[in-house]
Amino acid sequence: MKYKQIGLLLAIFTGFFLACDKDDTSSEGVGAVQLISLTANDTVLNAWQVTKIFAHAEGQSLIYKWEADHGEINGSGEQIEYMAGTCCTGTNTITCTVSNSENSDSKQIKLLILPFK
Amino acid sequence: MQMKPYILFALFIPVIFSTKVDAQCCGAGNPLNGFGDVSGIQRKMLQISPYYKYSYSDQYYQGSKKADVSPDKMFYNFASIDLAYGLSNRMSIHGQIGYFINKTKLYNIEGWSDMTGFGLGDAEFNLRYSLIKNVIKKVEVTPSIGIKLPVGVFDQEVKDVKLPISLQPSSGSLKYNASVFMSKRFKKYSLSAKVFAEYANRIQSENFDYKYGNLYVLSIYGSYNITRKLNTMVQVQYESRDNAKRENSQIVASSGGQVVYLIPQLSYIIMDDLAASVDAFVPLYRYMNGIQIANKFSLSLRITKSFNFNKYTNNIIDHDKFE
Repeated sequence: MKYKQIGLLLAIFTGFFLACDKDDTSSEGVGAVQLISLTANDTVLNAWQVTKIFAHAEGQSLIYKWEADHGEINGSGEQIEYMAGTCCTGTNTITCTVSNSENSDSKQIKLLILPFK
Repeated sequence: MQMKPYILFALFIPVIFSTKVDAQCCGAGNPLNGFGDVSGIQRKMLQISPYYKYSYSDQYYQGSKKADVSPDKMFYNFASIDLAYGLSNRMSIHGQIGYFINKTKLYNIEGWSDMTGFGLGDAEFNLRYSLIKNVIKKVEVTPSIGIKLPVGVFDQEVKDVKLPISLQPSSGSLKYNASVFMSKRFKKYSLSAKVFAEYANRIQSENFDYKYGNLYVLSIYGSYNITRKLNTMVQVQYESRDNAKRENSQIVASSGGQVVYLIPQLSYIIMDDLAASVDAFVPLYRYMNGIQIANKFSLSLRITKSFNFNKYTNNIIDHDKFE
């Protein structure tokens, strides 16, 4: 009975390892990714003022991921709009990560958000 | 049939460890829900309470006055399962796991699309001990300690863009709370009060550093039995939250404040072991630090099903409470 349980556990673990093994053949030839620049129309804003942020990247099959430590992002892809309300005054960091199935690159930009005017 | 306390813990363990905690930033997490039945329950009694809450906010406040800005509106539909088990006649353990059906922001900014977060919120555990439980004088004093675990979704993305903190279902922060509930019952009515305090741990990650302000709540309840099965309660709840802090302990000026809610409740005992209640949350007074959006109203529904695993007593509902 005990050996049966050990055997079952080993089979489950083996299954997990096989399931998690990366399939490298599907992403062949996609190549390097480089995020060349991350720029904003304005780097000093008042609360609820909207600015555009642009990511300029090189590579194939690119996916753009955006994240802000404070504030809100609208849109997707290589150009987004950013805004921070009164909750989020101060120096906020916006991170863009560009990736394909093989590589990724990321950059940050800092925007200063002043109180509402 | 006996329900061992460790079975209750075991029921919650998969829920706690089923999602990873990726602290990035700040959302409010599970809302305060009035805590259901705030007194302890009898030994070997199990209560299961599905809970639902709808909340709507559309007005920004500056101090106690309406601010002349309206960049967005917010609403959410929240559901939870609350469990309570009587470890002894004085001590009980309470747990809650929350889920946001949706948490939506509607923007008044040209070209901005609405955003919605959804998913598992926080898990909460409380241990309550009835320090004073005088059946003859019908007086009860029950202190409680609790912990709120950010087990839910805190890194939700829509179209590869991370949602703002205010739309993430989980608070992302480990929180501790303590409270004392006091109650005096009379023939047809009862008076109760509860003081509650919550401390939130600082959230620190590669891109994020934030600490929610401490929360203090004082509630005063008056309850009246209209019939043996129908009960009405009016609660006045005062909430005060300190300012939040971000990196380098900078105070977030537009955070924290004070709100006074009027919470009327109607509860009905459907069967001996089944009760339902509805609550409305009406803000009477709001004072917001800086400029912040404030809640306009909330509605909630709770159904409580009780199971008695004590073979020596058959009473499920504490009828004494309603007489």
